[in-house]
Amino acid sequence: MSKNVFQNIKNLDRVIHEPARLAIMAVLYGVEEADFKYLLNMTGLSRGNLSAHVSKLEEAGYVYVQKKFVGKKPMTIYKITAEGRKALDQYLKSVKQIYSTLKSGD
Amino acid sequence: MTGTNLDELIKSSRSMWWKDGIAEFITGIVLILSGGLQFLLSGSPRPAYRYVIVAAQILVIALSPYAIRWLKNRLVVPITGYFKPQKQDKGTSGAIRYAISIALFILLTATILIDNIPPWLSISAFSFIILLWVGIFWNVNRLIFEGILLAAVPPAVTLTGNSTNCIPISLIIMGAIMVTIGGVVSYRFMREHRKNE
Repeated sequence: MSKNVFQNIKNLDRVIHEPARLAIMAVLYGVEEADFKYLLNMTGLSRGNLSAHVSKLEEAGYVYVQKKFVGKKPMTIYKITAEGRKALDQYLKSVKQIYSTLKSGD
Repeated sequence: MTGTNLDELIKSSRSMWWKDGIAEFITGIVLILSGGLQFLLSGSPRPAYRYVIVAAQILVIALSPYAIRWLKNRLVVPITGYFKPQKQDKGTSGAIRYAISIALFILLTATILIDNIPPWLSISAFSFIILLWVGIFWNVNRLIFEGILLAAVPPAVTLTGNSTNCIPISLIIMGAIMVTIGGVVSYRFMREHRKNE
């Protein structure tokens, strides 16, 4: 097995690599924006878990959090940033690369 | 989380807007109303009534996006949460709009200019093209099936001998199909998501 694979594994983005954060990123990747309830529904995470992981993604600059009013109702909206979109693309590319190298046995 | 699961989650999030069946339900109602108005129009009423009917037809179509949003905000958003579907990039949406407009223009021109082309062909082909595109682009197989089903309605109506009122009857049947499928999908979608709450 080449040294390259281990290097690729080592270089995986640790912020995205965590399953809960990966799920949040995947959900936000498919929409323009979403609220907390939508993320809860789609990821199946608990409120506390979701809140903690979203904060980490926000700190990394992958998710943008915006508080706004929809009608008279206050709402917290989550969006994936351009940087986040790029990071997820890169992460998926790396994982697929690692998988194909392992499968071919090189 | 495997790569396949991740891809599925992205696809599922992307196609969420179509999953609740509300858009089909409202489109079905619009088709039924359009069919009814076409019936009135073919009854050759006085010119003043014809203008009113045409205006009503335009109003029904123009109000349908608001009706979809209104119903979604009341029925779906409280259960699933709020989300805004992803915008297509300008290149893709422009190309699709052009392709659909050209297809519609060719179909309408051919229907008017060539005697042998039956008038229902434009409705049949157009509904098929639209639903096929939406189904493939947003990854909702149900819509592809609906496209085939709806495209078959006008020729089936013609075969039963209703050639004079083929278009209104076809629109009403197509609408009824969409209302039924949309209604069933909406009911199942909301029941499933309420269970998960």
